[in-house]
Amino acid sequence: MTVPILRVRDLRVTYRGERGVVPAVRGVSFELGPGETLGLAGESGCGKSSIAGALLRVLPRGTEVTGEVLLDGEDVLTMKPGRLRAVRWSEMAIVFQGALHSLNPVQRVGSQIAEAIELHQPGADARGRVSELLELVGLPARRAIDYPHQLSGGQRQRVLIALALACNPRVLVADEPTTALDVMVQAQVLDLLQRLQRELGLAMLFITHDLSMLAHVCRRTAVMYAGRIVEEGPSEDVFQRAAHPYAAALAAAFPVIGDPAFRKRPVGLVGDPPDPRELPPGCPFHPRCAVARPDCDSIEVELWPVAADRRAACVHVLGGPR
Amino acid sequence: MSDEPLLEARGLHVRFPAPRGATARALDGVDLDVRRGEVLALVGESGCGKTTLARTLLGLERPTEGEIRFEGEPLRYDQRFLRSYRRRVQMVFQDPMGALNPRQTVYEAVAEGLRIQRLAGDEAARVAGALARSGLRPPERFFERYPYELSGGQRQRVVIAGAMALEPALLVADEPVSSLDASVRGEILALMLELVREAGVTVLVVTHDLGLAWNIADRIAVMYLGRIVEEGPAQELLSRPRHPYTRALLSVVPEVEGMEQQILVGEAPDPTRIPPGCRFHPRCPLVASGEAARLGIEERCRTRDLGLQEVRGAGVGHRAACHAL
Repeated sequence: MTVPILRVRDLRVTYRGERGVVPAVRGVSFELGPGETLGLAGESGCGKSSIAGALLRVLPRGTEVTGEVLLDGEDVLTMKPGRLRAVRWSEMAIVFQGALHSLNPVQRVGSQIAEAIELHQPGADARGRVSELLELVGLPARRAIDYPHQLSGGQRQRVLIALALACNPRVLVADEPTTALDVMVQAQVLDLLQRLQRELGLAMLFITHDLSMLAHVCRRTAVMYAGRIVEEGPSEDVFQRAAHPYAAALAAAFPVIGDPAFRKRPVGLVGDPPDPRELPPGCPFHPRCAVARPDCDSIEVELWPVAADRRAACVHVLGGPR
Repeated sequence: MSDEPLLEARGLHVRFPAPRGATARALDGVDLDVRRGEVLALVGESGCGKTTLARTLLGLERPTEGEIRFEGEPLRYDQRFLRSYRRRVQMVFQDPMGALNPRQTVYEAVAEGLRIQRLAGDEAARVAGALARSGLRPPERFFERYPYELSGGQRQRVVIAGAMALEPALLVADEPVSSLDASVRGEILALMLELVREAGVTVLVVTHDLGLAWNIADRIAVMYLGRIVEEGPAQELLSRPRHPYTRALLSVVPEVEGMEQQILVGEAPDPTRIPPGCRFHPRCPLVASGEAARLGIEERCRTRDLGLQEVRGAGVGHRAACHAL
């Protein structure tokens, strides 16, 4: 791999509030090269969205974040507010799910985009750039005068993408960017993101619960469970031949249409993902695991090699403990 | 008797007043049979009318036109009839947290329907039986638990137990797993198949998810703008979809291999403005690519509305509404 543009080292996110101490992310490391795509998959509460928030430092006040988020070698976590504002949007930007809540309902969408441009590139031709951006995301430039409620869900999501790209970032974080959308609109937005990623050479971190989607969008995928990465590798391999039993169960939740193995044979896990405040000892997945060994409730799992470019945190993998 | 469908809908129309004097044709001529003992998936995008159809079949919505027959008998809308009908036809909603009262124990939640229906007999035994059948075993251990003490999958099992306690003939499930975490969905789908097998219940599942349909359905009906545009045996329909809308829908599902993506432009269409001719023609890839013109049918696509017709050379009961067939 070339020199990574984003390097995350031992990231930990802990919320402290009325609900007690919640260790949402418990030591996550990954790298993203220029123009590379990495998928981050997992279910609600696994910590994937906390990672997105930590990368951009948009988590609630009082949240404890440790580790390193190196953007071109510079640690985002220790940046001064002024530097952080400069880096946000112009180096690394984010597209959230639920476009209705991320846009200001009483401001025209064009002026929201222009505002971001003027803030980061004073003197730039903001109006011209807004038109350019809208067209880039497949919206007619005249839509700039619309308010968010005048747009459909898919169009609003396109506006959010335009907003994220306003200051030419090199890293794009997409957090469930298609989740609330209908199947066909989802395909439209996904297609757009893939095209932009390729054309603009963006490094993209794509966060979703939909493992099957990542197989198409990202070269590599990491699956998270209980605040940690439990498997990582080429997306196709992770989706089709997962080494970690949790990743396998998550993949099975997206049946391959046409594959007789899935016909009339739904499979699911028992129980819920664990409460991060009360994690099971040993491998946190062991209470739901069909292939757990007697020692899984005490062993400290780590990412062991499965193949040259794959790792999984399960005692059953090839490179695991004897 | 056994060949007669459990539920039949003929020529169903449901119209709603919409803003600015417009009329939304939520259902615009639906014919549908639900056969005894099958799992039928009603598939479509939001706004296609699938939830309105489910509500109409449940008697919650009264059709503007058309008729519904249950076990051969036409549905009536008086209180007496509806109460006995709602015992035989039960609904499972999307979000178990919304369907369950947080201050009610599991026992109370399941017994509630029995009390409303004034079902005689041993209440505790019925509740226990329904919980056990829904995979909550031993049932007594769950009697005094509250929803917040249960996992997401267990909560949906309680909702299903509440429906099953009334020994319905038909279970209508609207997106039964979409509020659940992905890894948990399979257990609820497996439970539904088990109920069909063991308790002989018939299931109508309303969903946007074709993968779910492949997972559990015997037959599939695809809806577009208030009409069923294709129906047939699940395996056949998903392996060889004939309607261009079904094909497009299938092509954008990431879990389908080796199919060229056909991403339709635009959003879900507007039921207050159903296009003339084939309702799908403004978005149809066959029309847009000129294929319809080459086949000499484009004029018909634009002007002639059409119903479902048997697909020649396909399995029995595979029908689609397309001029190109």
